[in-house]
Amino acid sequence: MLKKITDERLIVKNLKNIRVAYVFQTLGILAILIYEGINKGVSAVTTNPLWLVFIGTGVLFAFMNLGISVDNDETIYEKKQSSYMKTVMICLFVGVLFGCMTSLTADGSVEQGILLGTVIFISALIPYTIIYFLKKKRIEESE
Amino acid sequence: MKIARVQIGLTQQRLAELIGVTRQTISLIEKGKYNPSLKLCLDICYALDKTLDDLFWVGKEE
Repeated sequence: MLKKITDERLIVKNLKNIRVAYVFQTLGILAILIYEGINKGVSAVTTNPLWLVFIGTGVLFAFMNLGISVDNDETIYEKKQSSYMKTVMICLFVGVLFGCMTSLTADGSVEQGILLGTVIFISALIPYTIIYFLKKKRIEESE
Repeated sequence: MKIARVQIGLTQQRLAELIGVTRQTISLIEKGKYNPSLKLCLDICYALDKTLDDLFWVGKEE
């Protein structure tokens, strides 16, 4: 029966093993994609689901690494951070604005407007949410 | 640390079970081949009823 590892030395060792496996897997995915690219052309690469996995992993990794980067931002946050609701409202406003503009133009329909507005809202909200929580963490740490 | 452990009459295996690590980890710490976290150091101190100074203090090398 497998027991949960509680030994800190083994936990670190396990993480290092996972890292090696991750490198191996990434190299494998890259090899498959390059092979496809040579044999069937670039369009076959981007339609391959492995490509999505590869890009998704890269984005996930980059976002997670935001939290462990060295502080470039030396300013001290003295004043209280603005509320999260305000961020959401601003993103929503920009989304609605672009949605309205799209649906009001000559070749735009209401469905297109809603779609574009939603996409812009979500795309703006995600990075601002991450920055919000990073700042919040920083303020909590410096207290 | 090894001396303190033997004085109390604990084996590496028994100490490891008390703290919740493997015997190999205890062995490596005693040989100086593994650098334990402060938390693990404290757990060892509690188990052996010693202070951090007694077990782990090494004078600064000049």
